[in-house]
Amino acid sequence: MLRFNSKKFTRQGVRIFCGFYVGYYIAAQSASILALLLPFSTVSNVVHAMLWSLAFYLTWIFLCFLTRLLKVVMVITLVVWGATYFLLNWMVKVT
Amino acid sequence: MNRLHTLTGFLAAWLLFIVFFTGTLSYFKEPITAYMLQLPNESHSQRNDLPEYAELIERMLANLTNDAPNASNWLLYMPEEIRIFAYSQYSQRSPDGNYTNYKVYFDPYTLREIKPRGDSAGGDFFYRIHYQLFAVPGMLGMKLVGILALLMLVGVISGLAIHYKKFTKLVSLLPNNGNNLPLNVHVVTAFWGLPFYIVICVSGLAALAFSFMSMPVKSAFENGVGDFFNLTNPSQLITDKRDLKHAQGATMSAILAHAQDAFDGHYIDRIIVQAPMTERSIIRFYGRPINKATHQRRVIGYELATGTQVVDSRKLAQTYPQRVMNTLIGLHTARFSDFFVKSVFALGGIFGCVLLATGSLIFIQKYNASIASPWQQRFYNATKRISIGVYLGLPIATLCYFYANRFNSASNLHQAELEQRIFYISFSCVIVFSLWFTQRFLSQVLLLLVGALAVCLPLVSATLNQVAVFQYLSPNENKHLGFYFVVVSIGIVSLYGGCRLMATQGQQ
Repeated sequence: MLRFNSKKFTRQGVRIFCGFYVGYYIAAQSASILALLLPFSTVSNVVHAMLWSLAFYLTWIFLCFLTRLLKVVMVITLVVWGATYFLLNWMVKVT
Repeated sequence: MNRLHTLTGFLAAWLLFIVFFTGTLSYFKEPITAYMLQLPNESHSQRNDLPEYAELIERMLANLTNDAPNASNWLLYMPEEIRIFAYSQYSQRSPDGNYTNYKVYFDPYTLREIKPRGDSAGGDFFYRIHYQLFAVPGMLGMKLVGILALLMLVGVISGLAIHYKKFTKLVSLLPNNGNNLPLNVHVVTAFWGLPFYIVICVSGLAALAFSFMSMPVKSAFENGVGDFFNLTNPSQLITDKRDLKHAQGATMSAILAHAQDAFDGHYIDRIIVQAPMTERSIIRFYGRPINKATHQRRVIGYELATGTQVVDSRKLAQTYPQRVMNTLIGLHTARFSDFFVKSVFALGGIFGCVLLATGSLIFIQKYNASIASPWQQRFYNATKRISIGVYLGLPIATLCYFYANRFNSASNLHQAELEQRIFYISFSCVIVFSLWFTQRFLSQVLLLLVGALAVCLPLVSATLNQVAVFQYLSPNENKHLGFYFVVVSIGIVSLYGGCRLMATQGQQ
């Protein structure tokens, strides 16, 4: 039975935001870091990084929906998002 | 998991149905193109072996030298088991600055140029919708399809978690979920097509990753996706020939003999000449490994002016991620497979379409039980009507596309464009039509329409073209017989469904 429940709706929205939206940026940023770090050719680095990011993104979505404690999901998402963002910016400047 | 499954299904089902439906048709895009262009194939029924290509390639190159000396690239596609003709392709800049593509077809046995009846996008039209979603401009379409593949994968995994207990009952093909027909069909198609869905979603994601997950590409390449695409697909590169001097090529026979020796265990399926008729002309041969599921081709290139070898992909070591990516894309496109294996892939695609349609029906049933306000009732009606419109509108639009091809005059210069417009218009009309009428009436009319259009297609085709059906149903041409068999079968099932709905309405 699908009944409208504002609390559940909000919690679901947070999971969608953390899993699908922020998860995409975390996966993409960590893949960009890998593409700059890996020692292969540029094309190979990118292919490696893209495969990694897809696997990571999928895992992240499920973790966000399966973890019971919503606050833990939110805190970890924000910390990882921020960390990958600053690391990528620093690496782009260095390389 | 239940909510995640419902959410992904609701967000993506309609568009995924379009992607699955057109993807299934794309497995047979070459036969569909041959059917729509009505390419004559008298010699094919006499021989079943693949011809030696040296003469054919020389014939095609001679033709291109006459017709397209100023083109930036020449592309030559060799016949394969499922592609019974060879064709060369080139693009030339028109006075308004845009590039126009030209294709010249050849019979691989008689080496004669084949004149198609009129012009048609054929199966390539479905292929374009499959990966670009109604030819949405730029990379946006590919990004959308990438997102849809991801949602499908999430839906498949969460569905597996929800329905795994029911799966155990389904090994014997005897579902035991009461009288809920959509749920039974949904679980049966999910179970029997599960490996196919996982392979197709993962490989589709990998193939479109450069557009969907473009951030690593942008960080590693100065010009972003464009540079990455040109490096991995040199055949699409447009060469600027303005500063290059004109030059004649070396003797092709020596180059061809060397290439054929070098491609032992490979099948040359594509040849690309970059900057033809200039001092920097390079001819590249693309060899596909025989009976190997991979997208990776061996490439050998020669300078046309001197005949010296300049490219050999075997000397470039491939890393494991590249091999994984090539294998995944190879599995997705199924280019390695023969006609039978492609049919099995297509069956998986049909299962996917049924899975999505029944999934929507289950959602509608569930939602119907929880309606509490007029707004929810409106939302429910709209969802149900659009679902019927999409799931029955797409087959109707596809059949209209085939009918447009048969009714179109060969002298019509914009025939290909007109066929595509008729597809879009008929699909839009069915969606709009579906919003106005009651659901039962709508289902009856659309099912009967699909049935009538599908059953009549061979007859109309025979009447309009006189010889077309019999020409394509010659004893050795089972592929076209198969095409009509599938179309007529779908028609009969739809007619039965429509009549059954009318009968049950009468009883009520």
